[in-house]
Amino acid sequence: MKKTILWLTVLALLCALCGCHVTPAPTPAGEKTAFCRRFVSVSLEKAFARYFTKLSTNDTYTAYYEYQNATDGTQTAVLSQFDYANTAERTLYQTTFTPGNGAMPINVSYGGDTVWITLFTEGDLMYGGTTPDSSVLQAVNVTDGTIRREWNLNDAGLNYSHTLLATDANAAYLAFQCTDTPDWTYWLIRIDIETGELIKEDISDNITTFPELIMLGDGRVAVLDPQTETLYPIAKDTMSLEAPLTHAEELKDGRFFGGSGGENFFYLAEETLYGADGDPLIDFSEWGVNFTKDAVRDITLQDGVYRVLLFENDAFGVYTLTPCTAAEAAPTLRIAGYEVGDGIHAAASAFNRTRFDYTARVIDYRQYDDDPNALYPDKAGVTKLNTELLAGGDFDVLYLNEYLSSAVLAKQGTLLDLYPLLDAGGAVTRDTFVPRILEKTETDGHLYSLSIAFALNTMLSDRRVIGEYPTLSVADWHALQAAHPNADVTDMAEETFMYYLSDIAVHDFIKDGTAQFDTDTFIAYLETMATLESADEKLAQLGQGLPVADYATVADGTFLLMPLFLRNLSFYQRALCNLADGAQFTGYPTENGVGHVMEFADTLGIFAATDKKDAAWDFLQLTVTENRLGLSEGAFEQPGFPTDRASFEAQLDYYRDAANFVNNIGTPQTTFEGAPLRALTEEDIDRLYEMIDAAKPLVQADRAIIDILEDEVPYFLKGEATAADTAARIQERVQLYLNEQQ
Amino acid sequence: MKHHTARTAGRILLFVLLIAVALGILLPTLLTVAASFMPQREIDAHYGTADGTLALFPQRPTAEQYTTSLLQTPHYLTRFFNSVWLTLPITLGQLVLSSFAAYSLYRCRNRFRTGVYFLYVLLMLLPYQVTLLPQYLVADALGLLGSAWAVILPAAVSPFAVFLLSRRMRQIPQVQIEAAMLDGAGEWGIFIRVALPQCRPTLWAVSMLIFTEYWNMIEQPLVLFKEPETYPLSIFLSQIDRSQAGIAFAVAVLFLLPPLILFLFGQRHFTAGFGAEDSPAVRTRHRVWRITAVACAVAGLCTLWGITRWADTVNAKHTPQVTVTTATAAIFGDVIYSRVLPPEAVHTDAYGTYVMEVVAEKRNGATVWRVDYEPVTVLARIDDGVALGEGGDWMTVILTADRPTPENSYVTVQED
Amino acid sequence: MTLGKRFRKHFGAYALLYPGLLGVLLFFVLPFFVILRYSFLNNNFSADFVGLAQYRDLLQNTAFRLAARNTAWFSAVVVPLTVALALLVALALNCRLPARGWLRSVLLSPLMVPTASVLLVWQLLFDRSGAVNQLLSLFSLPAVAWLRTAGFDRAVVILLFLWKNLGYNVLLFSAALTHIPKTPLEAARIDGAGAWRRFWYIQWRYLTPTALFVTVLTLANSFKIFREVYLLTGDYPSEGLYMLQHFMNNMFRTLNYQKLSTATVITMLVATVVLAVLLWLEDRFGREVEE
Repeated sequence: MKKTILWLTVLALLCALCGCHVTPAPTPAGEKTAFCRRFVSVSLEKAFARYFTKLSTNDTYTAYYEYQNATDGTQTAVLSQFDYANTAERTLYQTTFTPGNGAMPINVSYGGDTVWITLFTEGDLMYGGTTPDSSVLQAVNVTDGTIRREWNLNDAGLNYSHTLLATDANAAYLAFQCTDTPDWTYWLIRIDIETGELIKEDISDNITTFPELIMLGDGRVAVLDPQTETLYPIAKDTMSLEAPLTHAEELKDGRFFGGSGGENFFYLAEETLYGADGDPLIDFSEWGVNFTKDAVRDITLQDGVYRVLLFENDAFGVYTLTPCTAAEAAPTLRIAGYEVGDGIHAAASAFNRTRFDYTARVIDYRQYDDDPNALYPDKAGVTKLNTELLAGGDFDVLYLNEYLSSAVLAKQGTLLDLYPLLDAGGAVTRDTFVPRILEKTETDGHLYSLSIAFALNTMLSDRRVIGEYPTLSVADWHALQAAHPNADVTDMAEETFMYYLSDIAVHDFIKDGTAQFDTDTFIAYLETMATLESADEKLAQLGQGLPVADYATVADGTFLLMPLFLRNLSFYQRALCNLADGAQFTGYPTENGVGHVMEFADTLGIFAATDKKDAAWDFLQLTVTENRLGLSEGAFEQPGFPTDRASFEAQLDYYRDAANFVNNIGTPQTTFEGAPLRALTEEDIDRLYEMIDAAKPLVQADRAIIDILEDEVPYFLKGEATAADTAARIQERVQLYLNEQQ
Repeated sequence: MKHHTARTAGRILLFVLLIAVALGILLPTLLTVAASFMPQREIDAHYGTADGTLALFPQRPTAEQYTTSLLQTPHYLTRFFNSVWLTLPITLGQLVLSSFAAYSLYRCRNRFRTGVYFLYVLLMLLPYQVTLLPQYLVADALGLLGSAWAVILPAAVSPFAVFLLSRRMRQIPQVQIEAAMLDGAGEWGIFIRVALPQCRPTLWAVSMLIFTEYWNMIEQPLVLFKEPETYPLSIFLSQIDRSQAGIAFAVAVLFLLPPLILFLFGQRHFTAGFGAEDSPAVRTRHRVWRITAVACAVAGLCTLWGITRWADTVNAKHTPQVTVTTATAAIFGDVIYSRVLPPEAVHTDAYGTYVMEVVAEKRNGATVWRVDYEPVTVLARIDDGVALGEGGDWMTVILTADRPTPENSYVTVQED
Repeated sequence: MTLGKRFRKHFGAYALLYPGLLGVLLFFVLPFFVILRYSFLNNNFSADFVGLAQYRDLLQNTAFRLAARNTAWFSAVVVPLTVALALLVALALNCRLPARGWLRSVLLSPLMVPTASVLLVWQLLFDRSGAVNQLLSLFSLPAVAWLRTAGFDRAVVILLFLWKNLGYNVLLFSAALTHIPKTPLEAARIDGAGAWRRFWYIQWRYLTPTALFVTVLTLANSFKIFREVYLLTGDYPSEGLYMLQHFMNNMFRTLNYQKLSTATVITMLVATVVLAVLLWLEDRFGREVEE
């Protein structure tokens, strides 16, 4: 009996021990109350926001910015005060200067109606003159504009760049790095208006890099060493540095902000705000406050209300988070996906800045992979997402791509048909889109997804070399090779060709649920693929100076076809300009239609079981019309042609206008390859529309087909299986897949 | 006489055959262990391409895979302990619950019992794809999602062990039960004093099978857990790609140690009852095995736990500090080479020419530097540098003439 | 026995069953009813009741029929093969060979090796230029593309299954063999009975219950071979390897929970019949021979 008790006790202890360890890690930032969010913004035309920006606790924020006056080349520096509702602006200080000529304002701080400003005048010592550089610190009274006092900072040995922080109307601190000596030294200066004195202190013992100045919540000023992330408060009476304050040990790469609302200082690490004792105070992303890391300028806490000052996209904005009950807080609009694109994060941010009745949150299930940072996703997150979807989880919008396929989800009734929403007469209707784009992604007359952008994948040829080939079949491919024995058809890698095959497989090799891979057509494709080189072979040839298929080699006939990814109008224009009259968009080899493949970017759908259908639809509409694909010089890097018709036509107008492609001196701009740029003609645009019409949409049905091809084709390419065998095996396996789906 | 020789010859043949079979069975395991001691380059050569060759002995044995995966990052050890804390409760729970159930089914002979038994066997056949979603729903309803109990509870009540044990229970002679009842024992007493001791070998066998099965489970924690930090190690091993092959082998060896040790520990219980081998010598041998197994297990676990607990210090100590450089342009003769590196940065070995590139990675909010091998082609050797061929971007490359750190290991980049 | 005592007796016995039974009901039986319900709907979201339409569609689905055929074939081949081989090996080990204990342990080793880590090795073994083909070339036999030829791929999977499951079955048979009382065997040998007759009439009589038990166990395990096949050949293997679990896994992956549920119910029905037969046999012939 005793032995039994003993064993049971041991057993129980073991279980308890295990039980203690099976509880998951405690969640960070456990807020009990919710927050209601507001956002106001003000755009400054062509403003450069400089260093000094500050939130005050009386619902205003102060910002120092500069703008350019184009006519005479001068710049005006303004220190202004805005209220959060942006109904009033008060200019505190203003000065106009000519950059490089005369006194330039370098740094500004503001406290108690006094603006402290350092003005820098460049001397000509560098050019062999006798005048040294001069730095002058002025304390200017804001009410009447008089200069209360001036200091010549040259005597202090001041360097050009420094940090300035005013504690109040009468005192300010200045910190800088002195590069005169081989070992750089770091200095702190305290300036007092009353006494006029300027006290210097060497702080190199503690500071290791360019210091910053922070105003602590208890009124002291502290010097921040950004490298060690340590704050040294400055004693009020002496200038000595007191015992350092640090944040919690595990946190790194964050930013410090001056404290308020009972906290001595704030530390912001990855959208979570920590107090002076290292406790997390609030996770901003949970309440829809999204920002890029460097955009935050100031954070305050007052009576439980958080305010965040941002400078992003040439605009200042203030987020206000007011405590409210959970019932009052905005419900979360959940946008889920795997490997969600940046465009959607930006859209969510934009949504959160204009809609306060919902909080858009993007949940990328990549974070649930065993190793979210691995180069190749291990897709654990996809399984998780699928299960939660099936279990009827709380989703609203779904991000669709090859991992979460719209075709598969639509079949299961997981997505809402969007045509009724489009036809309901809201901001976005069928006409909002480029013609025929919507039809490309229809399924049985229903529309289950909307994309922000599209791109065309095609092949380019020169009609002066190969003749008229508006489309290309496999037979044509071989005919061309025979007709041009000294040229290569193209330098595409085998693997690229295989991806193309899987792209068009749904269109060309599957008819009515029957796979048609076991046909001469497909075998011809395989044999054509074998004439190409593998990616490894091409890699090995790098650096040997062999020609690649580009505009030049296509024009001179070294290569006959060149794979071309038409990302946007700029790429289209470039192709047309580089090959002039010869530009011909032949497309990839195909047996029916034209071999252009249309890809879509940032595709969204609405979860059928959502309870926030209106908000979800609003989000989709916002995403489509947001027009982040602007006309600016940045259009070259944008993800694609916009599906939004207004944006598309605006871009077309831009490219129709020859004046946009001429330099300041009147010479035409050139493409990267050196050909002169020209505007697009109506014929070019018609051709583009034809390409869009003829393109075969990339149907992200399932990874199944590409997986099967990637599995079987390498054996053929290595020579271990014949083309016929490979085709038969592919046929067998794909047919299995199709049979399942019936 | 001839009879005897034939028999001996037959037995020798049988023995040889069985040895061959045994070796064949052991081969995959041996290869895994061998591969765990190979440097990355050798692994790429053998396993990287589809027509590699098998190697039972590494050409240049090294423990670098182990140091990389265990000492430089707490990632795998954390997962390892997650596996431990997941599988142990499941095994214990199953042992307890299934022995209860098996005994109960044995003692109650009526139609109810037959029905339950039949149900249990039937449920044993259900594949996880089918039960996963409903178990997810149940766990959600009970609020268990994200907690380890979501996985432990369904696993602990799984009918497999009941099936195995009930058969053994049935073999208990009725007379012993009656004798115990005559002695005045209640059900519990009979259970403890009569049933359990007799089932000991089966219990050990069951515990080993259960442990191994749930040690390898993948889908359930994947779906039912929320934080990747709580995933068990089996998930990592089910989703390795070629670039992680080296670490994967080392981790796989670590992964198979607990079931192995459990097996060694319980061996005497398995082979008990196989008769004719119960001499003092054998018993001592088994005892030695047991003590060795326990000692190894305890020592190993403590060390690993220590490494995990003080991961920061350990990692810092094992993260080598390196100097890096970037490729520059240089003119030699009348040729401009756009990418020139110092000779110490370019290495050649039996498998080709390469540099060690340093790639920035985010881990727990901090930036860490990971070593990647980048094959390069050499265009020319000029004055004091090596000119590289085209391809790739500007690389941050480790500058050293020493034996390079293995791929996927972490380094500290020396700040200037 | 008084009512109270009987109650106490049965209560005591049943009580031990309840915790486990409750868990099984909650985590297995309840889910099964959820599955059953799903099989009568047309999809998870609009939840229209469609009666037996799903069953009708599924039974006509080509892929499902193929999977069912293959699974049945596979089980029908692999289960007897494993049981027979296990028995043979157990008998061989019973012949007083040296290092018996070691051999038994080696046989059990595949159970503890994680599948994924050895699969890399298996692929290499059966590759075109892998070890097995090299062995064949030693005997001047042509190389075979093991995993890519119909018929041979099944052989590889069967081999994989044997590798994994032989060990425990051998263990069970060995245990059973040692429990056979020596006297009848000795008596038969003295009487001059040959090895075969000794086996069939004496040893087999004692082994029958074990053999049935092992059969059921192996049948259960034959479903679990899926993971290895999946890691070897992916979601859509060649026709010969496509089994019920592939079908189910793909349905799970494409979120087609209706087909998944329906397939499960049908499989359960078939399994019930098969199991009923096996358990009836076990009941009939499985009584421990105690004389």
